[in-house]
Amino acid sequence: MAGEPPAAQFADLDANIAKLLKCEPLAEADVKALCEKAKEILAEESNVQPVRCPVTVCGDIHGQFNDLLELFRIGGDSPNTNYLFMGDYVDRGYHSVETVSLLVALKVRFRDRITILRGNHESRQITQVYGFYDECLRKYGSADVWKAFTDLFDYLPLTGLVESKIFCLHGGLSPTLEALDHIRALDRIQEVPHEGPMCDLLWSDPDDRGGWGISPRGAGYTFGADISAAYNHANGLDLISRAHQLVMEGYNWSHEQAVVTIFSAPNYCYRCGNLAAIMEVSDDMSRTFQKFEPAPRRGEPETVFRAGGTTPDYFL
Amino acid sequence: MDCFPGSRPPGGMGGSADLRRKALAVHAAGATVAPTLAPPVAGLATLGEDDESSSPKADQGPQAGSAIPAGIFEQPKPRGAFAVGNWKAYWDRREEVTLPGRGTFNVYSAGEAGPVVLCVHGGGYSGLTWSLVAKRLKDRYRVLAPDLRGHGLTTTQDDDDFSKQTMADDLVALWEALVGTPGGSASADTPSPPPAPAPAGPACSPSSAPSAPAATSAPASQASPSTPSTVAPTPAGAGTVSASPPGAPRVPAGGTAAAGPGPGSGSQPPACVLVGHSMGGGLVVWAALSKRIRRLEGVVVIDVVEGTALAALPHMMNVLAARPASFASPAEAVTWATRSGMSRCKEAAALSIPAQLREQPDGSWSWRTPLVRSRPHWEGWYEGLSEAFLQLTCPKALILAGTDRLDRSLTIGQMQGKFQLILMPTAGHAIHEDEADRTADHLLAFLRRFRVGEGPLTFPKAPAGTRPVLPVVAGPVLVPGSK
Repeated sequence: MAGEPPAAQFADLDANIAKLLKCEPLAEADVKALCEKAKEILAEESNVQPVRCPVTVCGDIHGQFNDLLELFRIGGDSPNTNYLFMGDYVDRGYHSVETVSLLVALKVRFRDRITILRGNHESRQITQVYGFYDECLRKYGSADVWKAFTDLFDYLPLTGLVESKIFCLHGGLSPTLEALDHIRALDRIQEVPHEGPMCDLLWSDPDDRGGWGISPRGAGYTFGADISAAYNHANGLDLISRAHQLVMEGYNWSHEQAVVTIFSAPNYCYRCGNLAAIMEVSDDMSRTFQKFEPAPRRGEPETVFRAGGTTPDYFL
Repeated sequence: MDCFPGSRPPGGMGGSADLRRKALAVHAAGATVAPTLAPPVAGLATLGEDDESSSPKADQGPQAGSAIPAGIFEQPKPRGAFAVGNWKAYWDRREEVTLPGRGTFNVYSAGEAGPVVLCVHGGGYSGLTWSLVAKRLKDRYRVLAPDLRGHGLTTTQDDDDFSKQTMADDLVALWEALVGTPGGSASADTPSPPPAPAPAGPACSPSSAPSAPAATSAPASQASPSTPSTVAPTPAGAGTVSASPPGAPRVPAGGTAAAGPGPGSGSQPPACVLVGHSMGGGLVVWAALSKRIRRLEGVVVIDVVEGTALAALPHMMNVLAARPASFASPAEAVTWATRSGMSRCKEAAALSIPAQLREQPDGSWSWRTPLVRSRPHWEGWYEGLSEAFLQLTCPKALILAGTDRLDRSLTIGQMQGKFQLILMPTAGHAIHEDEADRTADHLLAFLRRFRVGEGPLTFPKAPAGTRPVLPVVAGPVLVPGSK
């Protein structure tokens, strides 16, 4: 592909990608080198990163590595298919390390073919309680890899914009960000704050009620159809594409098709029974949704609660 | 956490060298940061999915200025210093609330004004389980913590009726007596209750309690006609309240009546938030679902989830059987609780554990609550709880010691943003005892964020002066001006 260095330069990286595709974690030194390289690439990207069509837009993955491979089987291999991921690669699933390693490796290898945005779980604080931190400790024996990744997360772009028409982000809108230029002006290279515009982009949800509301999640806002319509009109957009919320059918329209929610972790947490979906945006900007079920499991529990006696022994 | 605390000029459009320079500077700065980051500063608004550091904190000690000096880990106290705590260091008063047809409930209260935070303990505990948390909330909120039926100093007409319905009705009746009536709320304004018997007897609303109100020592038959109820079916006073400030002798139940219905009582009751732990977490959901608590503006459930609770119940009889049946003294019980890992905070255990005991004729101390006899009601507390919790329309928070405790319904609900999930993985089951300060921080953040007792939020606006600009894609994709 034009503009990309010759493939020989990427021999090591290709070997690492092959390793990751077998769900084997990289060596610690390789992870750190990968993160350094990815930082350089991501630092060049905008808070509103332009994306060309055709592209396949994906939602939450949450460490469900086998389901990510299933996603690539359904949507096509990277880099033959262009991808835009809307965040939440880590936590909850059993293979956060392999999942985020693979996506970052693909980003470094095919920077123009894959866009990876930031989700609310790409955060130091959230990953410490939802599994990624513990998984890094378990697989590498120290928190160094966790630190390398979470430092990298600060560089992830907040939103993507497909052909100026489809606005992609993890959570939703913010009352303090009426225009895309407001987002472009944010200083994003930091931990996700507890509140404020950057937090809202990663935490907000669309709602059936109009106007702005306080989000029941404890961070971000809810926004109604009137807000979405005004935002799309003011910014010349056709659609807001976002993830962040589990939807049983994998994707869900809201706000009279001004907003679509895409969730790409089937049977979330190995217990929710939901379908996953991806949105394929073609050359002519037409949109097709592909739904998929969980991949057959190898070495992962099929359902419900983690084995090993984490059930509390007292419940009165 | 913010690597750039200073204000910075807007800019940094994508691809600019400026952004990259900033980015690399951040990285360089970040390299000096310890890998495990400090937990959030107390009092900051916290994220919805929470933000606990995974390293255990050692500062669960009391606040400076409390009866017990801070720094218990640095300065070993003489043996027994924590043996038995004094509730008066944490609460403003203790009240005896006589509910017609139910019994006399012991209620600890802290704080004089503000929205009401009604805290409901778990099975076997008592209101004192909330002591450390109450102390943190009482400056801005009125914290009420009853001893439930069959627990603590409460005496009822049937101490073995642990059914979900009866206990949830108890909570509603307590709310009506303490908060939902002008007389009840007036008592909060008078730290020293007037000793003179109030002329107006406590009213008993026909709609307040489903069970027929039996005659008790309190004159319950006279409804107070002077109480101007605003909402038609809402009850007037529903019980007798007597208060004993710390240091005052305990007033016999029903000895003094509550302050009569005061003037200006046509107003709304204060806003109320229910907080429940374990069994109490189930009960607050059932009480909230009854819709009989007016101005209910929040429900917080601590470490109970239907799926995991039901899964754990078959083991509970063994857990109960494994407890020592009696202790030589309350202090010995506190020692047992901290050594066995049941409690991870000595200060909290020193208050909570003695209140779970009762002295026997032979001088030994055994468990006050016959939990084994509550066995027939366990499933009832929890079956359907997850869906019921999700059905509540007020702001909701679930505080858990680990994500593994979420069942399917709540995992979906959480992932759809229906409630706030707060994880405190370094705590044991009694999260609010083990990590009282952080629990209080989360509760304060919840109360503030959802504006409990306050008016609606004025939403922030985009800064003036930045004009909306139509986006321009990078590269020759669209002909400029074609749109």
